[in-house]
Amino acid sequence: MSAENQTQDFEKLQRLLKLKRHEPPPPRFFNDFSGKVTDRIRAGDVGRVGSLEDVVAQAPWLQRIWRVIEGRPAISGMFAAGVCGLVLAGVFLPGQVAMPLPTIADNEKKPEASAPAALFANSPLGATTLASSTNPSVVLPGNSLFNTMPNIQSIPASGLPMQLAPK
Amino acid sequence: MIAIPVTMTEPESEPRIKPTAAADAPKPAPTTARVEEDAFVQRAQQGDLAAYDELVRRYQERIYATIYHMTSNHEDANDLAQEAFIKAHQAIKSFKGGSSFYTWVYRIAVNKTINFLKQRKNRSAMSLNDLDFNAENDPDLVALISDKTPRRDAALAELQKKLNEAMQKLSDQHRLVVTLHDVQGLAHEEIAEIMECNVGTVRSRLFYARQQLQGYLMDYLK
Repeated sequence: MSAENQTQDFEKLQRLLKLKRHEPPPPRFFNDFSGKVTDRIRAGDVGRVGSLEDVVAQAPWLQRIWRVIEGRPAISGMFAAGVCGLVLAGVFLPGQVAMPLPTIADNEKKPEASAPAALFANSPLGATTLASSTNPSVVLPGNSLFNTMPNIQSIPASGLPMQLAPK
Repeated sequence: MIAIPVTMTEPESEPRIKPTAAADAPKPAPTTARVEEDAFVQRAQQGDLAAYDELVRRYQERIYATIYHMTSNHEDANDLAQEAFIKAHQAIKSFKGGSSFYTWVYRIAVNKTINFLKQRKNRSAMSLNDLDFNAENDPDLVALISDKTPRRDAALAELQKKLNEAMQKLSDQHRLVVTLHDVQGLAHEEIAEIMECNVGTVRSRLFYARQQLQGYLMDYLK
């Protein structure tokens, strides 16, 4: 199709589009339109609950950010990653701060044996360290499950059976 | 006797008009209507509801028509137009006068309509207004149908339906450009301000939208 034909067709199309100008609302529709609007304003009507984009449309600075983000997948991805990072930091950082950090003094208290199970069974501190969830709980020695279990034998780090002292 | 030529120079306070750069063009002196509008806006910003009512009256028809042509649904257009004016009233204190109140309200209405259409995606029932009596006497429209059928009203009603269906097939942005330019007669610059894009984008969208419409309505444009 040549450019001339296209222009000619656009003229016809524009003539056809004039039909849209002949679609008025029902008679007297505008007589009380502004009255309805001001009545709703007086009644404190805020319209439909706004979507996120409605909220954005109200704030020019948000609009500018939205426009930058909307058309660029790389920037929107970075923005989303940044938000996720902040959320994750917000969730995990307070838990880590609340956990007691090991000190030099704590290290000195540890006996030579390096078997963790044996260490933790004997030390309330060890029990605390073992419970490494975000909600650390201190298990008191008297209430420990290990105390209720009969004939618990400690195994030294060497792995050799422990020799009992002669009576 | 030597005549001293009097040279007419432009006052320094007025910048030169660059015909190619619409954005750099100086703002025209405010018209009486604009001054009047500014006064109403100021009063509305101070809480005068009667002044705001006057502003609504001024622009209700154009705002309604834009939304109606975008949705092809009278009830939706009525609701959205009311809500656009309510929203504008809520935000009127933030209106700084950088653009005309008319452009600002238009932008609110357009944003609201596009958001609504995004949510409506699956519901495309049309509720068209009846054509007015003048349509049958419009020479441009008569030329499109006169040789096809003796019943102008029926032919025009069918044409109206087909045209609205074709409009609904366009993307929201393309439909908006066609509505604002070809139906409502706004200038490219005004549309660019409303849509917050440059004039070139408006032109290219308009061209693409017309091409699409032309394809959809080929049978009626022969």
